[in-house]
Amino acid sequence: MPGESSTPGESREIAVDYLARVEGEGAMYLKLDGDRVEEVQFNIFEPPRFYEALLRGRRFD
Amino acid sequence: MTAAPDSRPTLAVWKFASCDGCQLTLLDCEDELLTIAGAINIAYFPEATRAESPGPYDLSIVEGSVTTPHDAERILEVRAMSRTLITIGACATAGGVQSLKNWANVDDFISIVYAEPSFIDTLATSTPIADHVEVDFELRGCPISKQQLIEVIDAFLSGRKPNTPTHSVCVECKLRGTPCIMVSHGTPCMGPITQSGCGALCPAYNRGCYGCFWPSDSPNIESLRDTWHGLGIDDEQLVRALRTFNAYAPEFKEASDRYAG
Ligand code: SF4
Ligand code: SF4
Repeated sequence: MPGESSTPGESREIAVDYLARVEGEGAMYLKLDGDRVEEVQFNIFEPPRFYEALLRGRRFD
Repeated sequence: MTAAPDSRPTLAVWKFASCDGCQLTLLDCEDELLTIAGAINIAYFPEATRAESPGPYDLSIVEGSVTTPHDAERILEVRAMSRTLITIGACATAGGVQSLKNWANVDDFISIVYAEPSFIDTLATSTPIADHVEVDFELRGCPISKQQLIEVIDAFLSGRKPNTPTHSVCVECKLRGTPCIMVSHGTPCMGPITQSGCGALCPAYNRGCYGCFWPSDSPNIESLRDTWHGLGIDDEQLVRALRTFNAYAPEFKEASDRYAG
């Protein structure tokens, strides 16, 4: 986290269950060993809406 | 001194397949937000706050459509813990733009959009909340109107029916003093078959209405079709217009299926 000092060898886990502003919804899990990121999991649970597929063949206006 | 128990009704705001725009309308009520928060206890609203109180809730506001097996289960749970359930926006009330996939093969869509199709778990359809559970009131629009949302919450708090007219956008053009853009400069407009609520926003900026507020009461789509043909708009373009924000609204769906032949 910004401003926080980290001790080498200290292990930390950060889990954010609900990222509200990632164009939909998502969650993030971080595992840190000191300054070293050991694991990142990013989970988008926003249901797909397929806009890219729906737009095919439509005029921009 | 102990605090008096909170007698305000509790509010929960839920999201299904949607863009968040409708629930953000609640946060956009800047001038009225404190008054609303004074009258109602915001108990669950992840878009606004991480603090949450457990249900049941007096009022649930639901945004978004049902497009995944998980959401088809989740809406049942939401209904079970809500005394009153109101759906907001074209996604929740009509299936939204994403209901266009109801006319297509969803497996093709998955491989077009996603590099790793096996990660995607989706139903073949996008359907409105009312197809799954009983809904107490449906507020239309893509997105909804702030004034109408306040009206619906106010009506809930005072135990009356919300006053949201079902007449066409044309009525609001007249109220606003906008000369008809279809008559005066031949711009195709869906206003005659679209429900009011937006204040006739698009025609006021010389753009035809796109039908984002759901079909108006008893829309005469056949007559609109004749007028559009007169403006040189063919059935293919009309079908696209009908299949946009409220493609799965019964009147628009039935007409678009008929004209698509
Ligand atoms: S501009 Fe569109 S909504 Fe307005 S009066 Fe004309 S047809 Fe109706
Ligand atoms: S004029 Fe039509 S498309 Fe524009 S905001 Fe109103 S209902 Fe939606």
